[in-house]
Amino acid sequence: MSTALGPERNLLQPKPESCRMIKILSPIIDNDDLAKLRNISLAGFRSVTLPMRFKTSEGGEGMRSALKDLFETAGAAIRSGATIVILSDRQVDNDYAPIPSLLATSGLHHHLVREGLRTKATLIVETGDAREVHHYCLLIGYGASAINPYLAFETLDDMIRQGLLTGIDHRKAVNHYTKAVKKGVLKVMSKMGISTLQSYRGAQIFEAIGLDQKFVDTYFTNTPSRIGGVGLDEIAAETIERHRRAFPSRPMRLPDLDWGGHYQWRQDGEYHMYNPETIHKLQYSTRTSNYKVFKEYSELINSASARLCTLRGLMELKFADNPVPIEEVEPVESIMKRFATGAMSFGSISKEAHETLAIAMNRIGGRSNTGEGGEDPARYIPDPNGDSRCSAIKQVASARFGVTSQYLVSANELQIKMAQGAKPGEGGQLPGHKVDEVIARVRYATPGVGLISPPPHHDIYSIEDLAQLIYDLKNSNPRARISVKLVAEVGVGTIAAGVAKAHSDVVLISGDSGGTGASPLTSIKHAGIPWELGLAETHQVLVQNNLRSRIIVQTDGQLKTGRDVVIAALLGAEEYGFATSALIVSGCIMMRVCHLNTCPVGVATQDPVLREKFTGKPEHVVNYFRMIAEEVREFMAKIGFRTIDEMVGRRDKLDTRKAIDHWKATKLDLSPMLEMPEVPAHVHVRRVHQQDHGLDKALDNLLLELAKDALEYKKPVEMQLPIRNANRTVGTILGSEVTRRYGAEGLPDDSINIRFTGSAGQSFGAFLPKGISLMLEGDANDYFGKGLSGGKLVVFPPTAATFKAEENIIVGNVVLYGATSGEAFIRGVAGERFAVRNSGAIAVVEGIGDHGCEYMTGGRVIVLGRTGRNFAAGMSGGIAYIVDQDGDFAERCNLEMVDLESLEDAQEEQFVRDLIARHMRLTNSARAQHMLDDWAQYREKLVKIMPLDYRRVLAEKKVQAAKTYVMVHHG
Amino acid sequence: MFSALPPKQGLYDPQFEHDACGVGFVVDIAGRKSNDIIRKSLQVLVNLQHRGAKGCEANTGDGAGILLQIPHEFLKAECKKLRFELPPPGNYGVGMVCLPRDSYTQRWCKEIIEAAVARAGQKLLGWRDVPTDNSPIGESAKAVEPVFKQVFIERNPYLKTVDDFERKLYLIRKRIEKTTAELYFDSFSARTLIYKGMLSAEQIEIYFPDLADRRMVSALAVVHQRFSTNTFPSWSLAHPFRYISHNGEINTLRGNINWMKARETLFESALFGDDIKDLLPVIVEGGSDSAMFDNAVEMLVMTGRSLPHAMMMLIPEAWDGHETMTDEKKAFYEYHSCLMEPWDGPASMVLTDGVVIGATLDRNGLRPSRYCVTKDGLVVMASEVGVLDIPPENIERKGRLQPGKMFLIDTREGRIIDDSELKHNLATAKPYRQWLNENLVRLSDLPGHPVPEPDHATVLRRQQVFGYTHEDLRILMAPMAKNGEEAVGSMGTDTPLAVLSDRQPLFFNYFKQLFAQVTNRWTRSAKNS
Repeated sequence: MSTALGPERNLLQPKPESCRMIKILSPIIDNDDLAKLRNISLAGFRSVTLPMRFKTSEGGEGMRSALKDLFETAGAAIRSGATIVILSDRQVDNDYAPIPSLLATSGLHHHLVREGLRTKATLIVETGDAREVHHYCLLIGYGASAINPYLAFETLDDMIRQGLLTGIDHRKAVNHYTKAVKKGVLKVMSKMGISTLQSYRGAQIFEAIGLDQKFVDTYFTNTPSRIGGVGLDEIAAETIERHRRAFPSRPMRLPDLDWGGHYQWRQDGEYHMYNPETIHKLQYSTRTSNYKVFKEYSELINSASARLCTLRGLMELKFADNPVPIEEVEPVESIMKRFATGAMSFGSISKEAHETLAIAMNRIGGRSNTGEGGEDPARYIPDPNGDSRCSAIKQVASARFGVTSQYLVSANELQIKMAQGAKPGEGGQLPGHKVDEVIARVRYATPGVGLISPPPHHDIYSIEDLAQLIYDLKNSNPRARISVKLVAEVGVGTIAAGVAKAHSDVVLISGDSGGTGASPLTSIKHAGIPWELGLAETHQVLVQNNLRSRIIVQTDGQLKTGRDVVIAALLGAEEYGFATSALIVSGCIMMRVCHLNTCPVGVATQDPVLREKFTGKPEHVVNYFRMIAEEVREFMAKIGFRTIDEMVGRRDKLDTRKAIDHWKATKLDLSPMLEMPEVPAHVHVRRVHQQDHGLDKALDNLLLELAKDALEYKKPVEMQLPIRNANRTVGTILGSEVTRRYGAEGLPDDSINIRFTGSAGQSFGAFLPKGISLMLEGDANDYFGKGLSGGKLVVFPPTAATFKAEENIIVGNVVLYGATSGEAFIRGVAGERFAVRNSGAIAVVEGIGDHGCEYMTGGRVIVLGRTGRNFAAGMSGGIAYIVDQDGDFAERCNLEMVDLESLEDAQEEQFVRDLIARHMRLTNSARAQHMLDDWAQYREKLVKIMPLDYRRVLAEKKVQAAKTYVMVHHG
Repeated sequence: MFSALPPKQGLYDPQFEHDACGVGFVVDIAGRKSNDIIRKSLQVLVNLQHRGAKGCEANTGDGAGILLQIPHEFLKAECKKLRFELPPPGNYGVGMVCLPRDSYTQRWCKEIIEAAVARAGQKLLGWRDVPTDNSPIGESAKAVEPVFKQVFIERNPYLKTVDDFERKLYLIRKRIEKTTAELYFDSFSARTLIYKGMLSAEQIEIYFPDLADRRMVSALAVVHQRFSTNTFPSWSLAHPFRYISHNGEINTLRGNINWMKARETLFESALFGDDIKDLLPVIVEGGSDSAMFDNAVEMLVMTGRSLPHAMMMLIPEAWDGHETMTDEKKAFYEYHSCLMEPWDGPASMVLTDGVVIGATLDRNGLRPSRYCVTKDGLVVMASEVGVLDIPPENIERKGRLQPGKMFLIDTREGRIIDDSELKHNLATAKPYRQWLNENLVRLSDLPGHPVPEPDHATVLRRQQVFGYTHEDLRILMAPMAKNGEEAVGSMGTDTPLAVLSDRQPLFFNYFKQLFAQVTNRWTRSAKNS
């Protein structure tokens, strides 16, 4: 994270002195570094320190004029040659309060941009208010090159003195803290797809919520702030209030710090909607099916909501003068079909909790969600009493855990998780202690080895990639509807429009506040926005584009009551998701320790003892949804709707609160949320058409016909066909048909044998199950063998070709991503990100690009030629073998989680050699032939890439097996 | 203009629109011009169609286009019909102009162009109405359809080289753009000509009958098929742009625009002298990320850098901490990092100035770019392989663009210049390492100075001033100081928004982080910056 400080010169005529700058290794600088910069005496540099403070007695006006002075002084200093401007709030006292550092920094940054002075000087911030990762991101994002958080450093020192921090000295604490900040900032940057600090600086990738537009235009130019809000005077008032506490007017003992209470509920802390009282009422009412107590619960929540916890709390429903008789309102049963539970993986929550939700949702005709952890195939078989534990929604997330052909075929909705509310843009981690035998089996992983979900889908870096995945999934199960889950942020509507154009059947807009998963605190609190805003924008943009008619809009994120559902409908949602509330009904008491495996009520733990304590029942969950639906009906009657369909998008039935008596909230203007674009009458405002997925044009229709004998009578079939790049996702519908008929077993090997000639389109052989073999003479594009699920893929250059196969590219990027089993033999070089998240497939290839085998957890990969950089990053399972021709492979391997070894024994050597021999037979590979001919030489060049975790677990298993052996034989 | 993109309204803000797509080019390495190159590239376009999208109407594509070398013989013959004579190639430039349909404004726009050409001391030879057939396109695209005209400008002999002339045309265009937003130049050059619009791949040839004319020849052609996140037709946002065509996304756009603007005050160029002020602002706001990127490339090229040099500045490789990169290249990148920040995001960028053509890939290689070199001297590059049927025996080699790498064909030299040669030449053109050694100072090398002592007596008071809470200490900071990592929590948040909280939330809390939902990358990268 190094960066350079100092003035820029003329970009157009570079000179040697254009690089006259000071290089710093980190944007977080300690007091020593700051002193160096403050006192610099070096040709080309001059620094000036300017105070960020204002006189409290002058209130908002004082802050305004202090900022103006600051900007003018800074401008004058730069004009007279200052190249480093240090903004400092060290000088606060009884009379002066600090100007919020972000306000001063961004305000000055924009002032200097406007004045044409900005690149002549660097901004450095010496501040007492920065402490969270989010704070540093903001300061950098609005123009600071370096930050000295002196008070945070002093606080650490003080914490050591007070015994709040033990076993660590100040220097180390500061180092750790700085390191954590840097890591956090990097993470936030990467969530935005940004790789250098330099590009992040001043990129202002933030949205303001609740700030006045004029205020934002002045100090944060071009930052979106869509519902207005407070301005400088209110910000000054809040600053003064804090200052008053620190400098009380009458001499008294300084009070202790506030508790805060943002992260955990406290009697004297920040207000939480779910607190002991509401949790109790909710659990009691759903367990006893007591609608009266339930109404008390929703009263409490709704009034808390109105007491300024949420945006929907600021809205009022307009009741009709003549309500509809409640008997005429759509029944509870049909409303409940619109309910879904949120994506919580088996792994993050216990088997008991997960299955309770599934059974309950299946009973009411709603939808439960697998989450990203796969699903135990045992759950596809209905229980004797008729209950089903099969989740209707199968999620497909970045790690693709357990995403097999069977998993896909058994879904009635496939949900692509683009982001999650608790930590949008980030991946996740399941610590090793949560990965027991069952979870490991379901996720195709090794028990005891921690699992990483990469932040992005490696097959989606652009909207047309998402369109491709939607197409792939539709092929993998043409009967399932496809859904894309997004998290609310400014611009989400635009992405939703892209999603609609990419032919998704459903788009889910998730709010920022939901999320049960473990996430860094910064993400929980500071990323994403409330669903009300995201949903309102999505509905507006979809209608404006005349795309609303072809996509269902769903929303979730701390929906708690029937009123919440009604507001979601009026803002434009047809379906509604619940996660936290469903967990509370199942017994969760919001201990917020899900990430520690110590959940005392057996909900979010894998500990068998704690799981015993799980008391949730499907009936409770069913009760909850019945009561929600009943509440919805009551509101519908009052507003005057008979069906939900009539209600979708009817913003005219919402009013922004007439009497908001809160000094800050009165400044909000929610009317942009209620605005509707003017469109012609024929433009629909809810889903009325099906998407055209274009499956009728797929080559697979022909394959199905030609493979009829195999599908119906298991008779082996062979065929030969031409193929071209416009033929995408070839073999996948065929595969889904095999799986639908024959389950995870598939067909006997090579039952359906197809030979193609030409260039295959993207996702060739995606999710191909056992029994299908695709041979391709030619080449293929990206996502070859995506999610391979037991099938066999072989590709080799045309026989007429004269180029050397092992030196030429034959398949594209992201080959075998998320493969769970099967084989691939590739005679030629593959692109970037080969076999990422492979958890069981076997592959032979003659060369690969960067990031090979990233996050791999199983399977075997043999590379007969050169690999690119960053091989095996995050690899925790499976084994790779590389022929290290030039002896420099180690340079390109990421050794954080793997060791380089030589082959263990003759058995292993035989395994590798056999595979290479098969590769030769199947592809006619000259490279393989050459190696086999000269095996003695090449075996020496074979490097084995062994994940450390995997080795440890294998060794433990061996010991265990030996013990068992001893016991069996001597017992 | 020529766009139905609505203004900011409700919660919608057009600045968050995205686009992406398929891109490709066909070139004859030796620079032999033929109609075949155009035929082939249009075939490539059709075979990339599935990477694009259509709006709410089945017959309105998101945009498609083609860039060619100036087809001299064809234009000469056409202009002759219009009774004006074109001088030899290189001595004139062609502007492909989108004009308003309304005849009054159209005349006004033409007058502005004529005046700007005269002011710059060049001669306007004549106008040609570009034939179009809008029968295949949808209503929404028709509603904002421009009139296409070609304007021909003769080079004043005092301009010695074609490069000088290109700069003059750039100046003329920028002056016009500053005068009116009613018109748009698809291209304005003595070397390249662009046909593009709200079309789908198979419509382009019907819409522009010129493209079906066998007299059209070029040694290179770039094609592009767009996928945008809206259904608002926008003729000017179709690719190719004047220098680049892009598949991907610039995630740092807002910062890049601001920084460019901030830098402009320092702009001086011997090539433009006082005229430089007429070129500002460099970035025309309101375009797409690709359009604005093109603005930046163009400025760097027009003020004297080569096209590959400009690309290396805007999309540098991950050089910091790279294990195997040569020092000369690292020095090049480090030096240039003092001049400007990267335009970051997934990108496969096709670049051409009409003489060289090539492509570069972002540092992480997040977009596909496959190429094929044939034995009879063609290079075909595209987002996918197999977009053109080439007999296997005619294939010399097949490759892909690698992360951060560039691939260039110089039709004048008649050869492919690979990444290492290209960058070696650029990196050693100036003694960058020496310049860095002499000028760049490391903070650690600066002399130390006394620092203020921590004042324990007042810590609590100052913590109060800055709104510290016990949670900040215990839940946030302690784990960071202990483990060097941010603390983890769960079960989301259900506390009020800052604007609804009565407990003096920190000013920081009024802001929410944005995140890229479709274009982010992994954190576990190689040891790059």
